[in-house]
Amino acid sequence: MKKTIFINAHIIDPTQKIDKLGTLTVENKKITEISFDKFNSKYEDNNEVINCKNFILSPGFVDLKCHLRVPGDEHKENLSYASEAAASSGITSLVCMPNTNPIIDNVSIVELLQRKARKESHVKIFSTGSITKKLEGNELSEFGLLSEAGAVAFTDATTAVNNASVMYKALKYASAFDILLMQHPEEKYLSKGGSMTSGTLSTELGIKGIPIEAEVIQVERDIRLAEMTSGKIHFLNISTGLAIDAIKSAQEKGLKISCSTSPHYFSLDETNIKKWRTFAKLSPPLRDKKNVANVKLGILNNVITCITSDHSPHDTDSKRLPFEIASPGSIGFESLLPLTLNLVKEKKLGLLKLVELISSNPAKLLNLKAGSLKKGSNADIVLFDPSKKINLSSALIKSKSKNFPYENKKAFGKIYLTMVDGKIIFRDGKFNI
Amino acid sequence: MKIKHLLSIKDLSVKEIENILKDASKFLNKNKIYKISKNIKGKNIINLFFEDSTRTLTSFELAGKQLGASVINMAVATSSIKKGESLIDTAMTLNAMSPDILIVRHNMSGVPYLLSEKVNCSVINAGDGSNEHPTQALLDVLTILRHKKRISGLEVAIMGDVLHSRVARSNIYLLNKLKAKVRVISPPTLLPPGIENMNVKVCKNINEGLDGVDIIMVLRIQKERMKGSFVPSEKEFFRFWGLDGEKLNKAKKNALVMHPGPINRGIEIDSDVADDIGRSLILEQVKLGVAVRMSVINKLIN
Repeated sequence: MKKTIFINAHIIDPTQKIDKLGTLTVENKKITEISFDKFNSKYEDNNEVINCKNFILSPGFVDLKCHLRVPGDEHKENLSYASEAAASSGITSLVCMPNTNPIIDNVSIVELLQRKARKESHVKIFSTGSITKKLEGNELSEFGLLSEAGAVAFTDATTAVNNASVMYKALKYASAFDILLMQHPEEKYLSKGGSMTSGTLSTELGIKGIPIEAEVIQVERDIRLAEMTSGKIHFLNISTGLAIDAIKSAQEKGLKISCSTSPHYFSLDETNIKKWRTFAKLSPPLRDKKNVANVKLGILNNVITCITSDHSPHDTDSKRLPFEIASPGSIGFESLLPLTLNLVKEKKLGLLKLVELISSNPAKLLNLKAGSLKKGSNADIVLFDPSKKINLSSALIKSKSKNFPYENKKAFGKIYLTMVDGKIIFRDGKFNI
Repeated sequence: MKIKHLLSIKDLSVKEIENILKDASKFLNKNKIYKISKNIKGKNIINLFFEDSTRTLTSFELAGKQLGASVINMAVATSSIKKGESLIDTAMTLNAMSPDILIVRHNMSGVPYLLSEKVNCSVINAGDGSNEHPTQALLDVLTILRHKKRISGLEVAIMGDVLHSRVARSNIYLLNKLKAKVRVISPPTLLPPGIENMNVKVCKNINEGLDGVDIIMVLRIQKERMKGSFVPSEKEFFRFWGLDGEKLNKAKKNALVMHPGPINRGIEIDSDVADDIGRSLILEQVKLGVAVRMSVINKLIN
């Protein structure tokens, strides 16, 4: 069997606390060896030797939250576009949201997605299921059957389960299958009709606002419900200091509460909306500078343990509208690493922590066989240069949609190679497929 | 005038504001008759109103015609957008007919700005959502000027549904630019978040709010907002937030009352106050509206 040998690699693996130069060998879809001795090339004639030139070799990134729009909204994104975009961004596993059309609330849609993924995608695609049928917030989906079919977590995507009794039952029932519920924390009535954070800016733009408390109210209620049921909740897209404080104290109490955010919430603030710029309309909405700083602090203090792309592709017609009716969301794959690397540049975190946030932790949270370079692991690997300057702009986007709020933003981080199950799927800008 | 569009009071310099107001006065003859000017004969103006309007539409139409322009009123109910043609397609279609000015009203904030980025002609904001209504503020200020001879230092109270009011926002920007002292009086549920950072004094108590003011701008409140969603009832709104003779006594003796119209008698304003020719400027506002709009159109075209 031919081996792939990565030499002169700066190996980063949080699961083994490795942060040093070495050689990593892949054989038969698996990682078979990591060595830190000097590499001797004379025995390796038949193998592919890749000189990593001291760039970083880490487990492929695991994206805990993305919208692939399949099935139903293939005019916004499809699996082959998404797969190339992810591969070129170093992402080897995608966890997609169930707010598709039809909604992923039954086994047949999970299976449909898996079938399509096998055919069209070169990265691994994991489906979530909805917490409630049709995302209506009333009746529980088939957690057990959906889990068996492959759903890795349950969430009502961009809506929260607002009915406390339904959420209580969901948490109770979920414990039978040890599954994770993921909540988009936004209290329905406070956020109704709003499309940006309320404050002077929303008043000046004449846009109905959503108070930041809409997030913490939902978080605090869910923490209570988790306490009542010994349930497990993961909060998605945390964007306020208030919610981070609430989650921190729940974690200190020993409750099974975790959370993630996306790079938008520490890279952009509400002033990026400028004059009703719909590309900066997100859900939850962008916050003020103080909350942006709080989100960074939440990452630094290990309250926020995962960073997701929150990849939310939208076609032009969904964005070229008055702000209040434009669809919320932004493209996210291509900016996941560069924007998170900014935190390294700002000396907020080290490279081990970076890889933990975008690979090892999300994999661990969902029990995915990913996010690690341990011997015997699946060979899902990314090679990147963290110091290479890049220009974040829509020209970079490989997704079908181009709703990207960053234009000519200087950043760092270039992906050289992405490998999934021992197969190189992206290398030097080309898809080796 | 340097600007191509009139989208927001924020885009205007004090000099430009003074120019608009000065020219508007020129279109008036002995306070009554509009001078008919042929300055812009042959120019085309399209009134693109996505929201129902009687007075603003008529005012813009008359202003354009008085200047000798051809004015077309596009009856675009919001429903035609729902039928399939997108907002931008509608604007691009009209743009292809090469009008000189597009006058836009829409129930959503930011629409005139969005369209101004897509079309070649000038765009005038005739009211967008809860954002702005710049020509209303300009005509309000012109009205005040004709009575008080100055804006600087005047105490102006804006009262009522400030939360949803584009008139309030444009007036706050304009009056602040001209150095008036602005206060807002509003039920707490109709007070926009963060408004205290917009250089206004917030008064939750109407007696305090009207104390010593020179000008009272009463805002229109929509009836559906007084069925418990923001205010419990019309009766309660009128009792505590409506302007009547008794409350007016808190203001200066020569205080004047304004309203952008159409008025809800017995809800935000008492008929006795609205019809008091010594104090109410409501009809004069309508008259000066035409002059101000003539001035704006004239400036944008030339």
